[in-house]
Amino acid sequence: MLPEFKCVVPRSIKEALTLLSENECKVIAGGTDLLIELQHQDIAALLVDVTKIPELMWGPEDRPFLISPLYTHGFVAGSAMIKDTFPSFALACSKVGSPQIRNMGTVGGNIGNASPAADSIPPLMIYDARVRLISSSQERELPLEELLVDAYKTQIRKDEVIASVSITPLPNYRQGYKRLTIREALALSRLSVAYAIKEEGKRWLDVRIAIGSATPVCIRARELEEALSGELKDLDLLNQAIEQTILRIESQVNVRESHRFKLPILRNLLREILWGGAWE
Amino acid sequence: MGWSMGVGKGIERIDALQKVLGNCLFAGDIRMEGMLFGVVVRSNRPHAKILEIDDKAAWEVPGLVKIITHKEIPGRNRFGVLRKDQPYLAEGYVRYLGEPILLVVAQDERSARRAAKRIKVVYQDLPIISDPQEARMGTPLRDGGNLLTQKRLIKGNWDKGFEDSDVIVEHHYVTHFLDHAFLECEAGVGYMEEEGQIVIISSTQNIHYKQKEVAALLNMPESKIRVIQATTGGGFGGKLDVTVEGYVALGVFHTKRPVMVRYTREESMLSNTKRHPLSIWYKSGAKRDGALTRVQVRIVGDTGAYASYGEVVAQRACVHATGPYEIPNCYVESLMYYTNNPVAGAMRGFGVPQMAFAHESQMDELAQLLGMDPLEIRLKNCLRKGSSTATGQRLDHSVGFEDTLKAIEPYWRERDFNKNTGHGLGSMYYGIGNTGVPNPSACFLTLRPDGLIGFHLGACEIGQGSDTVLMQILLEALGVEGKSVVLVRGDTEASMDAGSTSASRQTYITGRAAFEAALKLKGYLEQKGFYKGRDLKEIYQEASTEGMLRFDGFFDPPTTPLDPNTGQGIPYATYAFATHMSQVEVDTSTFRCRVRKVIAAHDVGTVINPVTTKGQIYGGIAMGIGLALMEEYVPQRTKNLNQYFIPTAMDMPEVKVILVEDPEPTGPFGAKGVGEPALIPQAASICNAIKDATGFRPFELPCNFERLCLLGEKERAIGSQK
Amino acid sequence: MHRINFLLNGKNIEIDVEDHITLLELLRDKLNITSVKEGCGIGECGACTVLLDGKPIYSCLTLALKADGRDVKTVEYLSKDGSLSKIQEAFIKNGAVQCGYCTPGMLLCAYALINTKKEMTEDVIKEAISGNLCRCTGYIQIIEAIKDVARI
Repeated sequence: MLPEFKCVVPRSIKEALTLLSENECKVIAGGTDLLIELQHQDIAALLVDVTKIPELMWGPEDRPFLISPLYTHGFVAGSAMIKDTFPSFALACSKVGSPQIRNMGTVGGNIGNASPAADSIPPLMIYDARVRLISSSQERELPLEELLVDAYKTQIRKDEVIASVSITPLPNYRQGYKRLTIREALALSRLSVAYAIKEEGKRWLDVRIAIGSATPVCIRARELEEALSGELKDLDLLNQAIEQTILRIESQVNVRESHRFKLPILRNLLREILWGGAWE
Repeated sequence: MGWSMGVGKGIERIDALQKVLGNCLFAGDIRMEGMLFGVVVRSNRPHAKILEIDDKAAWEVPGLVKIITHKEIPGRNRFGVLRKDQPYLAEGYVRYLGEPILLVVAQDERSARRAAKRIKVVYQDLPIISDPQEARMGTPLRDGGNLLTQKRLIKGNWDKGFEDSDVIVEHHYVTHFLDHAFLECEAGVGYMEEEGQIVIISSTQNIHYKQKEVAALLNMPESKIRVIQATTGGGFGGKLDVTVEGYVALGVFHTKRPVMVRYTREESMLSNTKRHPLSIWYKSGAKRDGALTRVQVRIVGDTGAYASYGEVVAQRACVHATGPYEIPNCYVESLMYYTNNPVAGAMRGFGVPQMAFAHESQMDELAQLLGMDPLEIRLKNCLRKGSSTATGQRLDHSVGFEDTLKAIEPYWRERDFNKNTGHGLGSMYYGIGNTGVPNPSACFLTLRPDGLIGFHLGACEIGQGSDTVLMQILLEALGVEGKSVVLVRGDTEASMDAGSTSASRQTYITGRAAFEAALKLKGYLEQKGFYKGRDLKEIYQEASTEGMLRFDGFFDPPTTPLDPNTGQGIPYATYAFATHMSQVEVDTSTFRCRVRKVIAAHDVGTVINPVTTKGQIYGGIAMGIGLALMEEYVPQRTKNLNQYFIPTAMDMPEVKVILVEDPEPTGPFGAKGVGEPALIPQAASICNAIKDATGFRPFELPCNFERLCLLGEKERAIGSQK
Repeated sequence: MHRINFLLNGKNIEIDVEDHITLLELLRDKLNITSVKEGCGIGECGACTVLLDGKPIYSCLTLALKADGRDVKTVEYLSKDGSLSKIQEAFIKNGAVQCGYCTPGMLLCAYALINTKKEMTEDVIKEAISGNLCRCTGYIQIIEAIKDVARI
């Protein structure tokens, strides 16, 4: 059962931001994460439902590279435009939870919740996502990588709301999303990799990899990207670069029980993505 | 079999219409005027003395009506299916996390839950035993020590050990706690009639047993307690023990008002019984030609804090340890220990799914050593008519095991050998009904003034289709159409004890009882000219003056108790047999195993309803996939369905079911049972398929990608050392 | 407190709801539509599924006030004109019903899927019901029932 609380449904961004600046509030979009969190509490702050704010809603035809925080995962997965321009993002959103969760859960909610296993985040990272935050007093923009501070912690201030997420397409890249789950639906990603690779013949031109669920915050595998981008495809080089990434992950987090299987599987996934199935 | 609703027809379930309309009332859907709501306050310690309970803050919640502790229990504060050892409400001492301490009753659910949260309990923690090996050595958790039971089976000659075996395979298999995860959590509503009778409507697998327990709890005669089965949303063994019924009864007894108790999923997962973790040491010997010579098995189980069905599981594991094979020498020891873990109880298969994992893996290991085909080694050793089982029972009839192997054979021979794909067989046998003890079933038929025949059934329908199947048996036996019979079901007031819906026994035992009742009524109706066209209303008039309005049926399968030292005897009157073949794909990057195809061949004696029989087998396969690959309940950690994983629709393979019929002479029209057999061989076949696909064998369930990855890494390390 | 106005199984409803009540609680406790079930309370089982503007959602994870101005359908809608819908008939015929607890949610997802007129394959069907757990049937006869109506 939920604790008793009040919920306001502002009809304009101004109204919403005023509420946020004057009260202790929690923002609610789809509610699929928040309502679970609230069940364990005795009292809750004022909820501000942002789903009816017209300034936060638009379609991809109007702004093709600007993601509305109110896009549901289902909308993203089903949008032909987004599938075409940002295939890794559309694919990831199509795997979130279940159809029912996808019909309510939003991209803004996914980012704001900042779960280490959030599926929309790794693809947004490879598309160099920048998040615009607004409050009644200011507007600012941060790279998604900076916005995420720790598991379930972001730089979003109490009086701020995610207004939009801008991403850059990667035409002619091979793009996708792989995730490791215990079953085929209704499952959190235990490990995920969003990738975009530009290659020509025997050379990697540009490699972008974002890894989720291995660390408290999703990471771009920069050392791997730098080691491979521009280089001739070579298995030893690849293996070395992968080890750099593994080392970084191990140094970032205390040794975890789950790393015993996550890291070997991550190695395999990265090799599969960058070299294909013939690495054994 | 010409009747439109008779045996062999895939007729529509008689309860399907109400279910698709959303009309049927599950216990939690019932609304009564002035109904109160009860919440059980539970221990948050696995093992502790209760020093103090402070309810002051709870009483500040408006709407709180009553708090009930063990002191307010009028009768016996102990329940249990075999041993009455489990308190409804703790008496100063808790033995597992979630043990009930007191009951809070309030005007509505929200107030009840708020008040319950405010109860403060002060504990003195005691040392915790969380593993049966510890229990073996550790401080007794109760008088009499930590061993609940030890079952033994000795057959043949053990003077020279394994000297007679050309090959020997020895392994250790491990399984963990599992949860029933029925979709409908436990719920019940009760109220008091004017004359003081207490009525309880609950989600349950056995109404007469609950009636007895509640009567003892309240120190009231059984005649004053009426238990009605609400539409029940799945059981799988988890609604056999008393769940909410005792608390509903206490609430009604003390307030005299209607009371509902309904568990959230978290309460259900915390409080409900679990599948027993079994640790199985298995040593098998065989001759060069594949004939099994002997098996030596040691089973150590964790029964948790209270006895529940622990003895039954220990016994079943012992009796079924060999698998469906004729083995001249068997030595099985099955021990069940108390711990401070959750109470382990009945769960679909009673220990046999875990044993099948072990014995089927052993068969494949032997086959590999001998260079034999896994199907061949099973054909070589399979139980047949004339075979003697591990308990020395000679099987005279209804032994369709070989037929199931032959049914699978063409698919097995056709299997394709692709990289990362594997195929595995899993076979099983399962004794229908309770092990070596009487477990009768009774029902009756009535002639009614409205010209219909009343079928008074105490058997609990929990989704498996018993209402429909038993009706089909009755209609076939009586030779009437469905519209002539009205089903009066699930009410202790209007039925005789049909025993629990468990041990896959309802079709066989209650079905036979229904058949017997039908024979009696048929004889009478024949006399009265019914089959020559005479009206039932007329016949009723005559019957009424003759006092011939009721026709009872009864059946208790012929068994003998098992010898306490050797386990020899006739534990069951009939056995189901089955073989599953699974095709799996193991992703070599992620170690995820996906089941792509299953062929399932089952000897069910006679098929009463092919649609519902297949439905049970499909469901059993799903549960087997869960047992093999994803289900694990970790005490203190697993709280809800986001941490306990059962298969979704996207996890299901393509399935082909082959129903084999080797009729059981003592069964109704030859039928046996399928509820648990549906599940038992599945996990075993998946494990053999994983071995086939990857070259390494899982010894611990579930073998999810974590465990497979670690196994794979180990193999790779060993491989690179060579 | 919010006064909300919404369509429930085709009929207009105006009702005051407390802010902290879920749509599940509104339907079951205030409006006595007990066909909508609670199975887990955290959006992991699908027993609470209803259609919101034709799309399946978990009513246990949806605040009641979000129904304002929208179209809510429960399983009663499928037979609202007094006869069984094709999907309900198919469920009965194909043995897709065992204990019945997951059935209303499953029917609604099936109904929503068939109405989308998507190209129907076995995989599409499985995905459509992937958010609805069933412990009894193993899903196979449910899938067959949906295929039956979709004629594949």
